[in-house]
Amino acid sequence: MEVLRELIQTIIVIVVLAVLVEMLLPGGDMRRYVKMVMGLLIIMAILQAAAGVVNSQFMQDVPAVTVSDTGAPPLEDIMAVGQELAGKDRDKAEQQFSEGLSRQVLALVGMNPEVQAVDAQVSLDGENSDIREITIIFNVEDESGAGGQQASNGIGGDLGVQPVVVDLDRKSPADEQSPAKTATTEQKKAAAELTKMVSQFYNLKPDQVKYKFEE
Amino acid sequence: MSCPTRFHYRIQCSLFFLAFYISLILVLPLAAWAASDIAVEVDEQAGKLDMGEIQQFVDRMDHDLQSALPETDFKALVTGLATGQISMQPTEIFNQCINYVFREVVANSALLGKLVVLAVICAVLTNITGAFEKGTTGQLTHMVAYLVLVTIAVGSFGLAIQLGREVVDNMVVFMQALLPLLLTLLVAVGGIASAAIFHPIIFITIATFGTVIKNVILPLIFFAAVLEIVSGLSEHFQVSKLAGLLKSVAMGLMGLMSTIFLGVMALQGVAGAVADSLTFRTAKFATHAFIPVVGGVFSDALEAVIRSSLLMKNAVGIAGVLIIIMLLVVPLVKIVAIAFIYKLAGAVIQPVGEERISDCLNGLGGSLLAVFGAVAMVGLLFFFALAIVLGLGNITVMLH
Repeated sequence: MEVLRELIQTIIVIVVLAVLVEMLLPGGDMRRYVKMVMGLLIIMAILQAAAGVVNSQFMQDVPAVTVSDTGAPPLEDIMAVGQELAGKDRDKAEQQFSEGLSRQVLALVGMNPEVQAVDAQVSLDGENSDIREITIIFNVEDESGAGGQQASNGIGGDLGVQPVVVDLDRKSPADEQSPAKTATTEQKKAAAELTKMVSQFYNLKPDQVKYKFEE
Repeated sequence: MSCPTRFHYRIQCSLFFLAFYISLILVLPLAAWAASDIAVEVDEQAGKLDMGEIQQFVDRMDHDLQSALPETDFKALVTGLATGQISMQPTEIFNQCINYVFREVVANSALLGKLVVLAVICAVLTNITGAFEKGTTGQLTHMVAYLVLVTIAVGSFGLAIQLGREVVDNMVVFMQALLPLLLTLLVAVGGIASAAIFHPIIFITIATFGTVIKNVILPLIFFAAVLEIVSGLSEHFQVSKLAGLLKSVAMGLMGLMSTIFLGVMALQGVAGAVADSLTFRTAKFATHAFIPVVGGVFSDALEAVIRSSLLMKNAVGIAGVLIIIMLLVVPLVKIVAIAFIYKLAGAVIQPVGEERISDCLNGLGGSLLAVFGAVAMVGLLFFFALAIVLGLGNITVMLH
């Protein structure tokens, strides 16, 4: 650009000079010669600039046109913040997913009136968000079986479902499949059938669905 | 001369479509977004993002530009756009623009007055040359008057070029503040490969494009204008062909740059989006095959959550486009107003019989329109860059 600027400046000077000379000179043949000489001067100026460009090293001018510092923050920072946001989204989605699943499991289990399910804990595999384990918690409060209580409460009454608590990082309980003291054989049998159904429904291995009785 | 005219026409057409498209973007989807729970979610999302750099930029903007924005707090602007609380009426924007054009033309009417009076003096001097004892006296006075006129014209022309450079600078700085935020959100919606591909390329192309326009194309247009003025000094020493050459080089370079810019962006964008959707789909099918849950699988739940991030990203993008337009419109209107003044002065002077001055002013007006074209092209390409990054996120989520 500097070369071009100088060339333009030279041309301006030559033209202004030519105009002044034209005014000062008397009319006649001289004007034609002056015009030609000035034209030659302009050609020389252009050729000189062109020669300068050919001889100069282009690569020196390149950094002025392209830029070394693009003002971009490092990609790692952007990735880190973005993946943190994505992680938060994933946590939220996992929570919604497991809440939905536990509601589904409770609804499925609630179809059998012999036992009363209070909670279904769904734990997810952190990597692929597959179901790792489902633990269904049954109530053993009434001795005569859940069905009797439900009947006394009236049709469509309160099934005694507690708010669903989901713990994704929960380790599998140590006392799994150990029935509580008051659980009857019928209740245990019904619970086992229900867990089998749930495992078949969700296409899980039988040992991935567990149950326990709580007071 | 037909080539630059056609170029201006194309620029005007593309700007018209740009304005139409943006007004559609601004008006149509927003009404559908209005919902109270979205507001809470968007607020929450906005809280997680670092918008400090963009806010600093908005705070540094001119008072004129700030007053044109519906909201000067960037976070509030994004939230307002996402929830539909801020909606722009195209008629209102159009009216404001027209108002601004007239205000600028009136503000520059002093320039018009000076140009016309000087040109009339020149014309009178040319006509009464015969009355002087020596013919050259009249010629000399004519030349002096012409030089005064040119000084005034070049002064305002230089200001317009400076304005153009500032706009390009501002836009580049703004894009460099906005893009990290958009790329972060792109990563958040799953466009990891896209962000990784885009990161170096988009920053390099934007900075290069801005620098080339600022340091090569605008000076070339300026040189062309100066040569055109010099050609007007004398009928015998014409350098108008050199001026035309410089102008064509500037225009050709600009066309080449914009083609490369758009080509690179579009290709990279598509490649990135496909790569991202591929990874997501593999994961999705793996999960699908394993657990056929009634009512959806985990990826569906994740998609629902991702959509709020996507909404946020689009809102940030639209707010960015809005600020780019604000940065662009006000100076461009100023440049167009000055170009109009030159063209008007040229048109008014022609009947007086001062052909050279009329041509010179007309040429200056044309060069100013070229400056307008160059600056508008930068804005248009940055708008496309934003649109591609935004569309990329949408495609990434859509291809899920």
